Amino acid sequence: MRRLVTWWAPLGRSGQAALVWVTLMLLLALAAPLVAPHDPGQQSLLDSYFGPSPAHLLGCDGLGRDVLSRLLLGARTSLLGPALVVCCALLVGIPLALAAAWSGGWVDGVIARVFDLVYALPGLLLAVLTVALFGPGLTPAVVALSIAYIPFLARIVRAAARQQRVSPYVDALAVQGFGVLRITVRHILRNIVPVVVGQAAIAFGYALLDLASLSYLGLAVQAPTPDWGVMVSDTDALMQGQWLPVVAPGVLVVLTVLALTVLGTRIAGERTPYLRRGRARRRRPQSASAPAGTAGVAA
Amino acid sequence: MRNRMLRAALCGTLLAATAACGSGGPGTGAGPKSNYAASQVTTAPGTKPLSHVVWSGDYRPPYSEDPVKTADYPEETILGNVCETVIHENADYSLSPGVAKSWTQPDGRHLVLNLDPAATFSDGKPVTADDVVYSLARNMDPATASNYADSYRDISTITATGPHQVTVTFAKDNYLFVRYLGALGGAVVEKAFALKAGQNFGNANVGVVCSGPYTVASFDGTTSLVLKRNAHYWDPTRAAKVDSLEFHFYGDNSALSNALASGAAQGAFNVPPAAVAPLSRATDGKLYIGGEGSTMENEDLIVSHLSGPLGDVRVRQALSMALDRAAIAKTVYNGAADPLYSVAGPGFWQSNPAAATYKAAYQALVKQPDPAGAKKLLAQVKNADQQITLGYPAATPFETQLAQVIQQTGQQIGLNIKIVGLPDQQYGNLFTDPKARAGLDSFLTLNYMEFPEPAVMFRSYALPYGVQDFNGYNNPVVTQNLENAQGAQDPQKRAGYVIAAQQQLAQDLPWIPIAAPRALVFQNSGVTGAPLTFAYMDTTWAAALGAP
Repeated sequence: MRRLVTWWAPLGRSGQAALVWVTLMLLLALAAPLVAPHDPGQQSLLDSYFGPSPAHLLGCDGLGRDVLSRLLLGARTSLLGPALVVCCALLVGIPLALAAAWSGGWVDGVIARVFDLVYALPGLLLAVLTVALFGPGLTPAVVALSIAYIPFLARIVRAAARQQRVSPYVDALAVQGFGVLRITVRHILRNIVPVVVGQAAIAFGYALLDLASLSYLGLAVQAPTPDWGVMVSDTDALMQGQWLPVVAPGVLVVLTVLALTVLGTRIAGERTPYLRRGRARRRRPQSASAPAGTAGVAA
Repeated sequence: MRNRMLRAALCGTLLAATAACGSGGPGTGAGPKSNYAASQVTTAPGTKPLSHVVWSGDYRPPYSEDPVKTADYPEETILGNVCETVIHENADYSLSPGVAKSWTQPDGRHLVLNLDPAATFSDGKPVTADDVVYSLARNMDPATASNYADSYRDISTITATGPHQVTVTFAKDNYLFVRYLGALGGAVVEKAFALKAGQNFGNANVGVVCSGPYTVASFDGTTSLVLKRNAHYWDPTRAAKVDSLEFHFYGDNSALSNALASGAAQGAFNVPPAAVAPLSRATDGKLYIGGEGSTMENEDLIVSHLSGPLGDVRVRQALSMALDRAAIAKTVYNGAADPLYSVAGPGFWQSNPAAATYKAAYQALVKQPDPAGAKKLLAQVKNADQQITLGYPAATPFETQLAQVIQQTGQQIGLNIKIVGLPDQQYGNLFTDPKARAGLDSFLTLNYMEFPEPAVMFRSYALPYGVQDFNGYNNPVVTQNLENAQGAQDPQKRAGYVIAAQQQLAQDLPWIPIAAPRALVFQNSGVTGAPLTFAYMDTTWAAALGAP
């Protein structure tokens, strides 16, 4: 309980609200097949744009499909895609960033320039090009965005790791005979976890928005798969004054991105010493992890 | 600040939910009714000049200004005003003098065109018989890659038989070709300019020289193409009244709808069905909604190849039987379409002298959806559940919806249909590149013919040499009847052949007809003269535009 308080309180009210929202979305996504009142793909042309009713709380879309069920199931693809993007970007970005920070010199220079180069490529443009080559779908879009998001995450990780690299505790560990892998992974990376988590949360929000945009353009998730971006793309409904099937997923996208951004900022920002303290408490006696306050961020 | 943003967003959610609670019940009623008489084929012609008009050039900019390169909505909406045709097609689809002041067909194998000596190109040079021969013969040159090449297949020679006379000779009787001379396949271009331009003829930076009431003033290749009045136009009865006619290309339905409603654009043909509701409420213009058969447009499912899962005719028949065409017309097209039971539906024959014959044959094809019968039919087919891929243009909302409806219809009867959304460019390639079609078993099309002749629509996809015979369909019964139809001068006799072919096609279903969209034309109150029929395609329709 005490740990929870320590962990919860520094988030602040907005961070707490954001965390609740994100958790709620994740739970709904996981439980969607159980809680969705209807089959999200079941069409009923006679119920086209049927308004909210006890049977369909958020009404039906143009093909008579239950909007609420599509929102719930849509949370799965809408959240899975960005999660994959962030995981892939971290899997590639963190080792590269740590290698750059540890090695310094020309290795750092080359990796940093590669990051800069990829960073200069607009993610959406890269995704559009990839889709043009391999066809539309979630997989090519995720691959392209993952590449684009590597520098977004890795540049921050590299900057934070470079600060750690010159800390006395790293030299001390090296003198004690610890290997490079152990020092970077078990000590440096551990000390910059708040930065990684915070930045990943922000990236998750951006990736959600990017994938929703690509789905809106018909380049990522394809109909009839329920997805928030695909649902927002139904602008024909708006033209007919049927805005709920479009606005509802749009609101969910906005709120989720907003929540992730707030959460990420709270975790990685100056007002979140809790993670560092939490880590310090779990520090094993023989480890020489950095003292609190050394995991500053430099972009 | 961040907290405030969060609260605002939460309020937005609550607002959405609250407002939604008040909007129970069905969202759409019956479809819109036609708001003008079938006999009205055009709005009142413009009487006063206008300096500038903005019109929708449809969903994308033209690929080329060469009139025969691409037969698609943007090109055929615009280029007829620049490159006029040998014979003019009027708003009621009748033919009248164009560059040819008269024409005769003494027998089935000869068509004699008597050119108007007054006709001149926009650079002031006279239109000669040599220019006309060159323009028509371009369609037969593989290097031109004309979209109208198939209509020239039976032509033996095109020769200048006098200073102002051109004679077309056919290898077999052909009474249909004359209609093509009112489409862009019969557009006249200046030979000397075209030869000089070579492969660049029609490119945005080279352009064309033709004899129409407008010339191309500028084309940025992406968003805007501007025509200017041809001040030296030779035919005073068809002289343009608009100094500058700008075409904008709206890739998005809401952008088009907003532009029309706000007056940023003054008119559009082929208005998307979703825009019916907002544009019906427009205060500064009128949306004209046509009746059944008001266009020659037809929404169909094209079978890409007859060797795949759709190769078994029973699978095609089952899918066709199960489709609820009336519900599709009402829902997907918001009622601005009619169920279609033959690729050449009422729009193709309503104005035909043999309309009653065609109508009776068409009525026999009208069937209620029969999913149970479809299931029974599929039960006889081995491997009926193998995956069928269906391509559709992902950027077109109603096509996206239609693909999903077909997918679910297939699912209901035991077919496994996978729908594949394609970007515009990739989708466009399906009609020209067999490799692009290789990965698909079928794809959707909003097809059309420029003039109302059912035989020509059927010939385009059902003859082994038809320009749209993508799946290699070849049925001797159909071929023979359609060849006979081409050689039949009497409309009733021709109708007999066409109907015989239609009955066979309804069994074979190389294309599965789905719906026939109605004419949807918007015109701002500050401008008038737009045709209300599908005859805007390929014609000098913009010459009639002007102030009321």
